[in-house]
Amino acid sequence: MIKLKKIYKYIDKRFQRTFILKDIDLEVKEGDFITVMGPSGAGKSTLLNILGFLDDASEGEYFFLDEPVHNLTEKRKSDYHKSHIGFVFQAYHLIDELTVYENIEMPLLYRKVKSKKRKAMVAEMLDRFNIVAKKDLFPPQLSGGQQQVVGVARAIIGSPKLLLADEPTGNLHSEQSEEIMEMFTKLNKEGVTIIQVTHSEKMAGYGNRIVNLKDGVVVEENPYDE
Amino acid sequence: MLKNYITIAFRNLRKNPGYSFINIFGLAMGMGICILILLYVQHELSYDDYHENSDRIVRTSRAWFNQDGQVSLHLGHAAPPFGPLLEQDFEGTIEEMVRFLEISPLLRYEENAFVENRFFFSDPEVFEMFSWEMIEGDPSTALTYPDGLVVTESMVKKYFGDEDPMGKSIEAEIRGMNLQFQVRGIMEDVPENSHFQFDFLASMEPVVQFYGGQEAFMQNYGSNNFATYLLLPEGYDYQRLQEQIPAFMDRHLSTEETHLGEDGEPVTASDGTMLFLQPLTDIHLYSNLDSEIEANSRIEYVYIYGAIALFILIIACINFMNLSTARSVKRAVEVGLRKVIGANRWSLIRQFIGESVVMAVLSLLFAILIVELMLPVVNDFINLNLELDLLQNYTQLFWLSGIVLFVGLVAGSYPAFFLSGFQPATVLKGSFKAGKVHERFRSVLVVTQFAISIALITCMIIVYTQLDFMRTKDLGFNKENIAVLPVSQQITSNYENIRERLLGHPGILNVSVASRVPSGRLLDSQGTRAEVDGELQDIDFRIADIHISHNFLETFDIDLVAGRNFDINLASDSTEAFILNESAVETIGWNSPEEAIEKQFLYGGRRGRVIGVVNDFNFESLHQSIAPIVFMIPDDRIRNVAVKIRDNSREEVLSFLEEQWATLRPGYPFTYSFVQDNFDEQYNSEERLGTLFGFFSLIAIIIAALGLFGLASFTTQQRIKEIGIRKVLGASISQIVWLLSTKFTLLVIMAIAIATPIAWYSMDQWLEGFAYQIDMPVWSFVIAGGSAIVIAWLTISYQSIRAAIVNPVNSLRSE
Repeated sequence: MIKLKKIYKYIDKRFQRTFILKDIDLEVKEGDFITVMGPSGAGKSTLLNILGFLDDASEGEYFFLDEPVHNLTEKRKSDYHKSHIGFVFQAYHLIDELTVYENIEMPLLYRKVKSKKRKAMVAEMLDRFNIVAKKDLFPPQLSGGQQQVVGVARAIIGSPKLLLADEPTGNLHSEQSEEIMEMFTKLNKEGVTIIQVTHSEKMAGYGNRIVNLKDGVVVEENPYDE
Repeated sequence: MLKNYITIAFRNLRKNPGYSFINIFGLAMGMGICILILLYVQHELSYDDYHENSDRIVRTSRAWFNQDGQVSLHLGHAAPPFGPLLEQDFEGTIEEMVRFLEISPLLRYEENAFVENRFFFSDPEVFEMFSWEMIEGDPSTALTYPDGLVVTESMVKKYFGDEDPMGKSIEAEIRGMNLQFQVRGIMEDVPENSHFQFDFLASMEPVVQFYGGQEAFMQNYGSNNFATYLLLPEGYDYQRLQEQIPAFMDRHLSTEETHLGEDGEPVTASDGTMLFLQPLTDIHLYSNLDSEIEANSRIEYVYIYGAIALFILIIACINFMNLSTARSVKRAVEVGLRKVIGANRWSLIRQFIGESVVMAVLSLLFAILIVELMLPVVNDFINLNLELDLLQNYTQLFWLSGIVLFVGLVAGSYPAFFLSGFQPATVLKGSFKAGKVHERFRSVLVVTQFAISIALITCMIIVYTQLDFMRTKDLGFNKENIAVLPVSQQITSNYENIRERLLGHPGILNVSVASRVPSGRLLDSQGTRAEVDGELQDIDFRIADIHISHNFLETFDIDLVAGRNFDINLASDSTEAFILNESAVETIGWNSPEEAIEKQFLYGGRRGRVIGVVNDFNFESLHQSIAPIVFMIPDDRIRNVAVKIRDNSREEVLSFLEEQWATLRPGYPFTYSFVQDNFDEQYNSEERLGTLFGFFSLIAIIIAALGLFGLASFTTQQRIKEIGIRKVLGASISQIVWLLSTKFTLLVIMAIAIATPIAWYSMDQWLEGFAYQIDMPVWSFVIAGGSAIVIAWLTISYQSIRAAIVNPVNSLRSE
C-alpha cells in the first residue's frame, strides 16, 4: 500500500543543513497496524505528516497505492484526503463551534454525500461508538476521552483505507487510552491500515509492527519480532 | 455544506460577542454613513433629470467681456428679446423657448395676504418643455390667458384651504400696481431636485406691459433678468448651436455696441457680450454664475462627499480585516482540520469570503436602522427630504448590494487568503504563531485608518479657521447693527422727511437708502469714460455702480481717503458728482486717490467729476476680491433702507420700525435683515462643509478607535505570557504599559506623517477658492495629530493596564 524509498527531510539554515529524516525506507502493507516510536525530536510526527500528504519530503520517493505522491497535484491530494486517509490527533482538534453530530458529519460534506445518506452514516457512527446521547453537545462539554472518540468517529466515517494517528492517547488517562486502542484494533481487524505515533510501550503493544526512530533514522523495526 | 458554513459563522459570532459587536457595529456605522452620503450624492446628481426632455433643454446665460477678453460679468439670466430672437433665427433647431421672470409680489385672496418670493412669470409653452405635472386645468392654454395663473398644491392649501381654487381671482401688488390673476391651473409642487423652485407661474403678458409694450420689450437688452430656456431636437448637440451664437449676437447688437478697439480694428458685439448655452442637468452642479435663480451646488462637493463615503467604508473594512486576521490563530485549527479532511484552498477562500459577506449583510441591516434613525436629523440639517426607499428605488437597491459586495469582498479577501494558506501540519501541531508578515500588514491597516481620520480632523479645523476668519475679518466698514428694510414708493418720494422722522427715535443713529447694500452682489454697471492724461478715455473695465443717498458712507462707517463726501447742500452733487473706491482709481490708471479728485468722469448718461475716493472695503462676500465701485446719488433703483441702530436698543428700534413700516409700506408684512447676518449667511456652504467634516471625522475616529481597541486586546492577549515573565523579573506596571503602548504610538505617528501632506495639499486647493484666505495654520496639524495620539492612547490604555496589573501567577500557569 505504501512504499517509501530513501526519504529525506531537512531544513536548510544558512550554511547548515539540519536533517529531520534520513534515508527512510518503509513498506506498509494493507491491513498493517504500525506503531512509530522514538524519543522527542526523532522525526515521528514529520514522518506521519509526510505519510498523510501534509508535508513533502525533501528527497526520495513515496508511492501510495502505487501512485507517486511526490508528483500529485493539490487537487489529487485533497481527493485522497477525502476518501482514503483519516486523521486522529493528540489534541482531538474538534471544531468547538460545531456539535458532536456536526463534527462527525463534516468530512461527508466535503465528499458531497447526499443529506439522507449522510444522516444514516452519522447515525451509524454515533451508534457504533455509543455516543448517541451526546450528539447535540459541543466538544468543550465532553471529557477528553469522549472527545477523542468523536475524533476517531470523524476520522473513519469516510471509511478510509489508512488511519493516521499522532499520539492519539497522549492526552488521555490509561482507561480511556485502552478504550481507544481497542477501537483501533477492531478497526484494524475490519481491514483499515493504521499507523500511529506514540511514546507509550503499552499502546505500541496493540500494533503488529513497531518502527523505532532515532534522530531521523530507523534504528529498529519490530523489536518484538524475535 | 452552505448550512455548515453559516452555522459555524453564526456560532462564531455568538461565541465572541465583544468581537462580533466591534466588527458588526463598526461595519454598520461605516455602511450607514456611506449610505447617507450616497443618498445625498444621488440626490445631487439627479437634479432636473425628471423632465422627459431633460437632455434636450439648455439655459441661455449672458456674459460680458473686458477688452482683454476676460469675463467681467456672467449672468445666468438674459435680456427679454434674446429668447424670441433665437427662436426666430434658428427655427427648426429650437423647438420651444420659455423665459422666467422672478418677482416678489404681495398676493391677496380674501383675508389671506402674503409676500411670495417664488413667483415667476413665464411663457405659456412652459408645460410643453418641462415635465411639471398639472393636476387641474389645461397645461397648453393656462398661461395663454393674459391673467392666467398656475398655483402649486401647497399654495392652494395656503390660500384657499378646502375651497376649489379654479377660476378664483388672486390680487397681486407688483411695484405699486395692482393686478388681477385668475387661477387657471393647479400643479404638483416642484420636486426638490430642481435647480429652482416656484409656487406660482403667471402669464408673461403683464410683464410686457411693465416694459412699455411689445416693441419696447423686444428692444430692452439691458434688463438681464429673464431665465431663458430652449428646447432642442432629439440627439442635437447644443455646441452646434453655440457655434452660431457669435454671428447671431453681431446680427442683432451690431449697431448699438460696435466700437473701435485699441488697434483701430472694429470690435464686434460678440467681443463685448455673448450668450452661452448650458445643459439643464448641468446647472445645479456646474453653474455658479453671478446671477442664479437659486444658489447652486458644486460638483467638487459631490466628489468630496463621495471620497469621504469611500474613506469611511474603507476604515470600516479595515477594522474587519484587522480583527479577523488577529483572531486567525483561533480559526487556524479549523482551517488545518478542514484541509486534512479534504477541503482545498479554494473552498476555504469561499467559506471565509462567504462569512464576511454574511457579516456585511448583517451589518447592512443595522446600517439601514442607523440610516432610518439619522435621516430626520440629516434632512433637517441639509434641508432636504432624502429617503431610503428600497422597495421602489432600484438604484438604491443596486447601490446597497454594491456596498455589501464591496465590503464582503474587500474585508473578506485578506483573511480568506491569509487563513486558507495555513499549513495543516504546523497549525495542528499546536505550536502555531501568527507570522511577522501578517503583523506588518495589520500595522499598515492601522496606519491607513488613522491617516484618514487625522486628515479629516485637519480639514475640519482648517475649514472652521477659514470660516472664523471670514466672519471676523475687518471688512473695511462697520457691518454691526445695521438693519436693512425694503423701500416703498412712499419712502423714495418723501425720503428726507421720513429720514428726519426715523432719526427722531433715540435708538437710531443714521438712516440712508441705496440700490444695493454690502453683502449683496455688485451686478449693476454701465459704460465708463474718465479723464486720463488730460483727455477722456474709454474705460474697458467694468465699474459697478451703487446708487445711494447722502448719508450712506456715514451709516456704514466707510472712510474717505481723499476728497469729500456728498454734500446735501450742493444740488450739483445729486447730478454730477461721483465717489470711487481705491480699486476703481487704480483700474482707471490714476496714480493716487488725490490725483483722482476733480477729474472728469462719465458714467452711463451722467457727466460730472470725481469728488471723493473711499478706501477699499469688502462689499461682497470674501469669496470675491474687491471690485471697482462708483457711488452716485440718483433716486432711481433705490431698493433698500439701511438703519444704523445704537448698541443695545435693537428690540425697541425694531418695534418702532415695524410701526413705521406699517404706514410707509401698507399691506406688506414687516421684513428686515441685518447686514452682519447676511454676510454670515454667505458662508453657509462652508459652514455646512465644516460641520460635515466634523461629523465624519468623529465617525471615522470612532470606527478607527474601535478597531484599535479590538486589535490591542488581541495583541496583549498574545503577549500575556511575556508580560508575566517580565513582571516576575521585576518590571513595573508603568513599564509594561509603556511597552505595550509604544508600538501603537509609532503607528499613529506614521499616520500623522502620511496624513499631513495630503491634508495640506487638498486644503491648499480649497483655500484657493477664496479671495481672502488664511495662512495654512500649522497648529491645526499639531492638534489633529495630537488628538489622534491621545485617542489611541486612551483606547489601548484599558487593555494594556489590565494586562499589566494581572497577577503573573495566573498568566504563567500552563494548562
